[in-house]
Amino acid sequence: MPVIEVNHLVKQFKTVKKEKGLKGAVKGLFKAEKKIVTAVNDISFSIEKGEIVGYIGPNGAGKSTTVKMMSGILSPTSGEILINGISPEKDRKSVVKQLGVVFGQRTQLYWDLRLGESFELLRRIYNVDDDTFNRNMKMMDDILNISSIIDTPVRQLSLGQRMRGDLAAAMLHSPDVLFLDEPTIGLDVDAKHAIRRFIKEINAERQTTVILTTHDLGDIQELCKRIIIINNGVIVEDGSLDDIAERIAPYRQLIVEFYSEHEIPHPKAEIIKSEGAQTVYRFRKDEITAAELMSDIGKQAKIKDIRLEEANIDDIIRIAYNSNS
Amino acid sequence: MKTYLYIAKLRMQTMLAYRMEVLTYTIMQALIMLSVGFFWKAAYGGTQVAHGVTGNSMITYTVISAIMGSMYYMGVEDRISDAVKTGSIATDMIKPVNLFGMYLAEDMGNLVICFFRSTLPIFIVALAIFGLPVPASPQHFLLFIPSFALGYGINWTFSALFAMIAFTAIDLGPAFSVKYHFVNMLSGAMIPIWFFPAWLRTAVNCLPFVYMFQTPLGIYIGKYDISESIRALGIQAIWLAVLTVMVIIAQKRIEKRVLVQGG
Ligand SMILES: Nc1ncnc2c1ncn2[C@@H]1O[C@H](COP(=O)(O)OP(=O)(O)OP(=O)(O)O)[C@@H](O)[C@H]1O
Ligand SMILES: [Mg+2]
Repeated sequence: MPVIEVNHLVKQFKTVKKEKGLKGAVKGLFKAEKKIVTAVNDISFSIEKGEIVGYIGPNGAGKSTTVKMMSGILSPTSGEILINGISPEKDRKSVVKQLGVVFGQRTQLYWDLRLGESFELLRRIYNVDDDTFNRNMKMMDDILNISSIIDTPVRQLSLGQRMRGDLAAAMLHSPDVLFLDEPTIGLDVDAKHAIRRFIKEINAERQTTVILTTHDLGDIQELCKRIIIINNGVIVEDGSLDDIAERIAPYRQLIVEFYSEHEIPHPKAEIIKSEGAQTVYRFRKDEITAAELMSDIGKQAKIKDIRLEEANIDDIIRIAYNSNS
Repeated sequence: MKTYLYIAKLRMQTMLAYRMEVLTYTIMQALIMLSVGFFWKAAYGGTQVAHGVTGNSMITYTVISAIMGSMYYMGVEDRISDAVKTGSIATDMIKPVNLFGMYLAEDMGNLVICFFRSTLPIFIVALAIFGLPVPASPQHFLLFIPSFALGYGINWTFSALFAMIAFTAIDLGPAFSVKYHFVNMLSGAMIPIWFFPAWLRTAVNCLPFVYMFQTPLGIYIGKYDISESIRALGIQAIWLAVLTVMVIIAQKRIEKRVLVQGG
């Protein structure tokens, strides 16, 4: 049974269009113009236990809205969500017991109090027994170095420290499923690294299912075997990065350096740049292999050096983002 | 239960971080108490009794009203409207707790802090200037306690209900201060309703406000005899029950249609 099932999920927001100035405000009292924004438009997916899924898409695509519905904060306009077979809309409390949620842009920690106080509260809220609590704290400490900040009031923590605190807070009750909405936003290289290591480790050790939204493609490359790309509220891609690359950007580039200036055409490869002794060929993997291409060219001129490049992740994501806008 | 106790404890710790706010609030309340007290002194002048109440009883009324007011700290209102405005409701809702249970626990924490920070100083000022505010009789005092508790409950549930309008109409503007003055005027907190014209009195008696302040106060100063007092407690209990049911219904409906702002 999948841990998360989403079927034909739709979320619309009704917003009142506000007109400028006092006149507009008065007019708004009597005749408010309503506008409907469809943030999530009929999406379906299912996620198995232990998966790490990157849920990505451009700004305003509907990622956070989906995460909020999955964690029982927003109720869907239509469609169904099941987390371990339970609908968060119908039974919020039972669902959130099995969830850890981190919104990178806000914190669930008590702003004015020591970080440790928030942990103590969560321990009571989730009824975590002493053994589990200590074990979890130990693990958080190993990866996230929590003990160095546990006595600091949350408002004095740096963004990266706070994020570490929030991640630890989300994991204290050993949830099955972790929703991370932009957990690496605004963090430096070290902090990002710690958080990625944390996600990898809890996933490996506890089979925690992770859904991660991010704009950092490094997160995706390092963590996610599967990515779901959403754009304008619609899922445009769902699969492994390699598969998606294969489908939407099946190109590779062969950069060939000759001993002297040459321009050798090939029927199955396109020359996209030729500069001095160096020529860049673009070809499709399914039409010709790099070895064949190299040997064909090598028959006509002596090759000094070669380099092979895959389409890079930025390109792939950009193509996917633009495919439905 | 221990969760909610801990929430109350954390709230107390948080309150301790904000000294000035409480201090200015206390000073304001003490000043209002003094001016209203002196007003009654002047208004009664030579008169002994008006509406069956003596001038001294009116001063007691004023002092106890200030004391009650200092404990009626309805944090729930700001809590809910902030949660909605800033979207921090999201982080409340990811916890498997009853939202209103959590907000009530927080207000219990507030109550304890307010008792030491506001109630005691106000009591001491009153003691120094007006003398001890004696209840009509020990029985009246014993009835005052549950009446005060019910008054708190009515005030709290009403505030929660009112704040929930914030969920549906996110831009509430000055509604909270309008409500504050409404409660202040129509609850008898400053001027007892028995000084109002009859038609207004009848109307006001149909609203929940008088049961927040005037009922416990009337019991304290002996405006109501014992059997009247017990009847008043009954009416308070009914109001509390009605408001509680409304809060529960509203909560169910509102959890279904929360609007979370931003990010
Ligand atoms: N409370 C709301 N009221 C009205 N519209 C909303 C509300 N919340 C989100 N939206 C709209 O829904 C759409 C999706 O928003 P969402 O926050 O899910 O995007 P996102 O994918 O998380 O974007 P980002 O990468 O910028 O965080 C946007 O067009 C946004 O304007
Ligand atoms: Mg977002």
